[in-house]
Amino acid sequence: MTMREHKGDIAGLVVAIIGDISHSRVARSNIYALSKMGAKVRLCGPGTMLPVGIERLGDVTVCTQMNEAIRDADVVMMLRIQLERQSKIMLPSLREYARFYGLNPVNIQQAKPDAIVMHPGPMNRGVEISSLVADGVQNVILDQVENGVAVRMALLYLVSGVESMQTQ
Amino acid sequence: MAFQHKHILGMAQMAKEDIEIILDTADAFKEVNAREIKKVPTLRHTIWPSASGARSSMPVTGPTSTRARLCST
Repeated sequence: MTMREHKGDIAGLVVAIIGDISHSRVARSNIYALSKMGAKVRLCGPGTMLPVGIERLGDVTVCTQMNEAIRDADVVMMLRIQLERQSKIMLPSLREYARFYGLNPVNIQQAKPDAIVMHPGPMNRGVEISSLVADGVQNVILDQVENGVAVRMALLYLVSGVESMQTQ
Repeated sequence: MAFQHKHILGMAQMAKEDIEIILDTADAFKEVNAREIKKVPTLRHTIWPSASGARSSMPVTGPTSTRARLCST
């Protein structure tokens, strides 16, 4: 919804999803949905967090370098590293993670100049995303939060079986 | 085309048209978020009703239902 608001049509967009792909329902749902809508998805993350065969879920390219994933992307979506859970076993150090897989004012320049930055929240500032980018002009993270509520309302409404929303 | 799903178990089962219906409906709901009562009539009392709201919906849920007990405190 946020992508549609900012980019118009989802078809043809290049969407980079970076981070802990293997523990992310955000990533999987987006892979399915974006592929069906005609967008191209690029995934990047540490090897321990990239499940084997994930590229079969849709129109997906797996990248080993973050720059490769971000280059000319229309949307850069960062995923939350679950500090309290697996990060201790799956990552050597958070500083190293931030260096190789964190979004910062330098590597965001690889994306298209009008690219939007997304994050499902809550953010680990300084880990997967630097505050300069999280609060930067390209971020649409608060729109994403607000739209998330609207989408949940829509889903409940649609499964409740009401025909249309015009009278409400 | 209308939305045909009775359950939402994931995006894998959705067609492009379903996703478009969801997004269009969500667009309409965005305005609801700016209202003072942030729910349309259909969705009132569906999630976490306020304590007084739970009491007034007891004829529907029944006074001994788990939901009513959870929400009545």
